[in-house]
Amino acid sequence: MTAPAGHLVFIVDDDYRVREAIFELLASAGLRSVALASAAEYIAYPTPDMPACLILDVELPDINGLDLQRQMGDRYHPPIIFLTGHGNIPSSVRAIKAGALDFLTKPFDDHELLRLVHAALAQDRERRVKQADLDRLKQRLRSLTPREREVLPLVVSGLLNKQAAAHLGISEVTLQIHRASVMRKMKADSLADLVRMAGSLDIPVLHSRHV
Amino acid sequence: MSDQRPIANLTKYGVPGVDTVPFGIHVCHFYRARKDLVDALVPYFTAGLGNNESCVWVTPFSADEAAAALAKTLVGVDAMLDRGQMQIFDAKSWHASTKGMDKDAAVQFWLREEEKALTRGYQGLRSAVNTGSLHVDDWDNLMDYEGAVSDAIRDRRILMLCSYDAHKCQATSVLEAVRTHQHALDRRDVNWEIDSLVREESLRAMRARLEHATRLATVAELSAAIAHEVNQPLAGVLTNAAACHRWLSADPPNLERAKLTAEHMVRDAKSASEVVNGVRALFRQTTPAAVPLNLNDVIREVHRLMLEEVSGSSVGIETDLDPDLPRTMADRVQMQQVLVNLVRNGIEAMETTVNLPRLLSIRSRCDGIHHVRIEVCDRGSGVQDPESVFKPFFTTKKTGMGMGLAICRSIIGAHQGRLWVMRNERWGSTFCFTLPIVPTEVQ
Repeated sequence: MTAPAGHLVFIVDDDYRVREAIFELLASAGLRSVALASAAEYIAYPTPDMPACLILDVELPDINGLDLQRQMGDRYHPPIIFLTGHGNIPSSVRAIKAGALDFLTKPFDDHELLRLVHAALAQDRERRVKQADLDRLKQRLRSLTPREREVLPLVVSGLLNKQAAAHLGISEVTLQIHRASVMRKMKADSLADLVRMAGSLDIPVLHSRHV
Repeated sequence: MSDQRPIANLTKYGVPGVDTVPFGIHVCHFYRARKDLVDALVPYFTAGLGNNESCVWVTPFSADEAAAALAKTLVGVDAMLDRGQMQIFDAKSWHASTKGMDKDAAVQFWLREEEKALTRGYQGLRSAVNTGSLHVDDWDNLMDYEGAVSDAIRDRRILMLCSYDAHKCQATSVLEAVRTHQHALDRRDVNWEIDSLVREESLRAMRARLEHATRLATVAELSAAIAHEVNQPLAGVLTNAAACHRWLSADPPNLERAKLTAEHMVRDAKSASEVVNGVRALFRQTTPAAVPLNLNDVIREVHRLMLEEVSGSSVGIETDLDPDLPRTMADRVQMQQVLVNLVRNGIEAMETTVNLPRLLSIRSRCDGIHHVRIEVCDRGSGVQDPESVFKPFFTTKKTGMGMGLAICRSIIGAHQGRLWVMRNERWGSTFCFTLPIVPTEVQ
């Protein structure tokens, strides 16, 4: 396995022996990490602008790792690999259901941990690419004029120019100008492309053509 | 032992000639030459870093020189400086930046550093501060501050060592310095001497810690704690070994980091074996606590305790006690541990019982004229092999280490008694133990 370019692995474990050892293991595999002793330190750490993952001890002194996972809830957080001192089936199930990548029992196999870290970083990288695409689309959407923003849902709903123009009470020629401008600003190659973008942006589609 | 992980209150002092000391001591130290300082402070910090303490060194020479002196005996100094476990300041700029700080603020600074160290997972805070030229310029304020430090750190996980240049001290100031610190350190040939108070204090602290730990733990908690305490360093050893292997297999091999991980392996393996020794000591320590005891009293206590535990569930616990039960010589806490463990076992054995009431009975009887006999009878599925259940690490449960019954048997054995189990005729099993009766003349 080769080390991915930019990345950061968080290790949160209150036992200095464990977190130092994991830090060394990751370093020896060419992975960059920070070792932290508590959930509070992790929360206070600035969110890195690169793919990340979190190796989290379940039994932390300040907060239970599972509670931390729940607290982070909907907000974005990097993929989590849980570590536990004793394999506790109910809590592992709970963690995995809440989106943890895996649950390792100490002492763990080094290959297994490294494999999971690489998988977690890959997953986060993919998410970041998707997020970046979406951010770009949102920015393009913001560049539309209010009128163009009215035209967009009508066009992607499959309305004919005539129908859309009637709906907005403007001439067909004017609508065509707006439509071309929407295509250009959204950098859409085709109507199908624009429809896909509208889907990503959650733009509601009108269900009836007879508006 | 269950909610608060015990951390040793003692630590290696490192200064040649001084052994272990308790945290919370404030020592003054007189040096004549630069070599004196290096000879005392380098091993002092080496011991602290080895015990995973956070360290602050305010040195009369430059920070680079101090770091270089440390690096001669210690691997990985740069990494420790990088992650802030070791901080080095030169005395001149240190005293310039703290000038005008009142004594309370200065004391608070150290207490905050200690809190920071503990939240970061370090064992405590170890510092050595060189008083520099302060004791010429501002002696009275310095002594005021030193006295306040002695009071403030007494119960904290802080070690403070203040170095005074003997050439700049007059006889009266030496006396005053010794008075405002708890202890004084002075050089005798190669070794250093510290007043004997420290040793007594450390013994007292250790005894208190052991007694506390034994009182708190039931057998089940103790086994879980042992498992946890051994598992952590074991995870450290294995992971360091994997890292070490990788550093050595790299091209070119990274010997510096391989060495560091190898040292961590030794350190972690040692701490695992210390846990094991600690457990042995724990049991040794408590055996002489045997007193004449009416086991009915212990059974009633455990009964009350366990009724709370099962309240709301369908499990019932009844007792059937012989009112004329003779007294036995036993350790009260250990008898509680045995009974709690047997009762919990019985309750767990009945988890699968559905077609009859889940009832557990505890009985006390005389067994002949020399023994009392206690029985804990459940309506569970019954034991398959009556002997193997007492073997260490034997368990039929998903959780637990399988140490409970083994420890129970060793406790009863240490009291000259016998613990065994029988299958009941109809359902479940009965755990029985006997203990010798206290001879009448003792009663």
